[in-house]
Amino acid sequence: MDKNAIVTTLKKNAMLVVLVLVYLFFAILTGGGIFKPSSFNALITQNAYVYILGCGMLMCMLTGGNIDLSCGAFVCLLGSIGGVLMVINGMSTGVSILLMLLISAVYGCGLGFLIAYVNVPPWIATLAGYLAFRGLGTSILRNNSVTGSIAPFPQTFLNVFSGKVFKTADGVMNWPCMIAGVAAAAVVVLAVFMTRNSRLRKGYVADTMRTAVVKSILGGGVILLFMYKLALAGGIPVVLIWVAAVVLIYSFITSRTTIGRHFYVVGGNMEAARLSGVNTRRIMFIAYLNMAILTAISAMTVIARFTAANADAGKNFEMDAISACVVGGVSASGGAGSVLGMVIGATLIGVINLGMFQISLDANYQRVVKGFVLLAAVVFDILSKKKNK
Amino acid sequence: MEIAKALDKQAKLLILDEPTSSLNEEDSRALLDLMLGFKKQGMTMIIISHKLNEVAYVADKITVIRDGTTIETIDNRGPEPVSEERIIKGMVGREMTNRFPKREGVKIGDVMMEVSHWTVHHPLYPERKVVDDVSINVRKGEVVGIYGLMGAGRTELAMSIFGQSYGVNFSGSLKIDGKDVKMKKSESDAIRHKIAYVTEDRKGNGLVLSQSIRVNTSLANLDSIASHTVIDQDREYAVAEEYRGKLSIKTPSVEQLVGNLSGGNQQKVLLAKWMFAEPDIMILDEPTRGIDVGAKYEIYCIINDLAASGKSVIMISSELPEVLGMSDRIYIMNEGKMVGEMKASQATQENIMAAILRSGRGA
Repeated sequence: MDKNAIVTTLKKNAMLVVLVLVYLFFAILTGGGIFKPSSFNALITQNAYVYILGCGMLMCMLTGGNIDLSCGAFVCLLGSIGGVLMVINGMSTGVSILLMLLISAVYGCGLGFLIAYVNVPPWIATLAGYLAFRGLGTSILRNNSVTGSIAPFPQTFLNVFSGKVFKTADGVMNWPCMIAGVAAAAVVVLAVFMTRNSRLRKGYVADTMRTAVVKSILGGGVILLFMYKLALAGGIPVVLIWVAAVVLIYSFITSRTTIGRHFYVVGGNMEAARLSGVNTRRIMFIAYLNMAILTAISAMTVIARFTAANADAGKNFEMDAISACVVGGVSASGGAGSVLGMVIGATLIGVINLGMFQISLDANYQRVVKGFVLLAAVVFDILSKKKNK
Repeated sequence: MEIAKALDKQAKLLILDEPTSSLNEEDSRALLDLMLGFKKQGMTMIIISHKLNEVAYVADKITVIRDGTTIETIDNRGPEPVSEERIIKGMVGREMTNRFPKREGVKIGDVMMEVSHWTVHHPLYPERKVVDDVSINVRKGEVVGIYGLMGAGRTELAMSIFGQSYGVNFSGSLKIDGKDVKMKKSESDAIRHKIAYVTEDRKGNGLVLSQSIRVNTSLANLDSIASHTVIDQDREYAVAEEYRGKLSIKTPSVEQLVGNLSGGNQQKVLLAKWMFAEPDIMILDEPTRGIDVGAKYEIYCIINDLAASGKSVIMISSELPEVLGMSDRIYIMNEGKMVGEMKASQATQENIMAAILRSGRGA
């Protein structure tokens, strides 16, 4: 019985197990390089956009495996617009951010309208943006700069999306970071036990004591480890706050709110959802409007990280976001998946990228590996579902 | 067109499934004459049809199939075509057994919903009327049966009443509890007006099979267990458990995925969803299709309970015994039109079939 329980738990959290194994694999291969504080920092700053776009892509995919191909190119376009606003015209950071959000909202509304109310298939509607936006962005860059790159962005803007909170030197313990880590870990542990207690009190099915303890140790432990390493790498990256906020908000929306529930049922059975009074068109509309807004936030973190707007910015972002979702167990046909799964998927891909970079694997082989990881994840997903039946 | 394709392949055996269902009288006759011509050339043909006059006209042998089994085969090679009454006898000639729970304490109240001169056009062929000038009403505490053959327009009628979820170019009026209702083209509007439509196709458009019983049960009335759009998960769980008990849904847990349940239990989850939406008027479309006899009986009991609690129930069914056994009043539809209305006490299988056939011939 005990053995069975362990096997089912492992099966349920298979991607998490894979993540740990891959991590250990690269830890050996890199001689512990991936365990350095700087690697933890890189994992966050280099992959911030995947987490943010992944949340948007998750919402799109939930509605029935629909994707947004245009988000990468839209990052490029928004970057060039931001560059023109802030660098060329010297507009203030606040106004520029609002304008960029406004532009993405307009695009999101248009896109959502076409998909939800004109019934344009999502991948075609977003393919148009994929083709057009990078061209548009590049031409804006070329018209405003001889190098084809607009830089440097003002420090006020960079402060909002990049850098460190209470920065300290590398290798020195950053106490604000460590305290925040302890607090976050404590919140996780408290949440686990409070949910359990309230369920027990009302007589519902709840975690066993052992599951609760394991959950707390794992959840709290990972947070503590992460924050400890970040504390040694100069402190909390500003972008981590954005990522954490987006991930927490979307985690809450998908799991606890009526609108989140509607996304799942629309993807599970669109007709049944409609006949149950769910406004399915509105859900599709919101999915793409939401995607555009998150793309804007993602674009801002990216230009802040490079302190410049480039023609190459956002290349393949859409594929990274889709991969993170698929590897994280989001169903390619819609109706199933979670933010936590996507985060695990994104982290897995991030670890693989970082590991391959640190052992200086040829970039072309890196792509081959990534391709196979994606395929393996989908095959694994399909097979594990079959066994359950 | 399809027939020409089949002929092109030099078919020796031609199976025609309701070949005239989309043709008018004249074209149907032409098609049937064409079949007689093929017969002379030595082709074997099987025609599946619910139009008895057509079958009697072209067929050499008529096999009556009901509930998935062959009832009888009638020879039709005599000089006179077999009479339709003879075929009907085969179609309905079954003794009614005690398959329906007794209605007790039937208290039928005022008219709850009244639909008058309801006309709906086909969404793809707007010139075609799918529901043609239909008027029905249902009282509180009453079970009204709507009987008709496949394609009679019953589902279309029901879905068009339910927030115009089917069809285009609606006309007619809808009164609920004596008040005129102008319903928008919206299912949630229908639910707000306390109407529920329990679909005939539970897997296709009734349930989200990849979700749990809990999620499916709360779906049509999610707002009632949420405050400021945040779902109260404990209450949702309690609601699902409550209906699991009430409808005796057989499952280890309400977290079970609906896709893993048997047909009868799936149907109960579907009913649970709509009962939780707390409607006054429940339209049940083929509520016992594809489920076993035991589960059928349980569903009948649920229907009776609903009526006893003052709800108005409209039950659409293709099974005559079910309509006769469950209804207080029966409407009969054929080809989009209402062709008869009778009290259950006056209705028999024969006079219901006769009403359909009369209208078919008149058209």
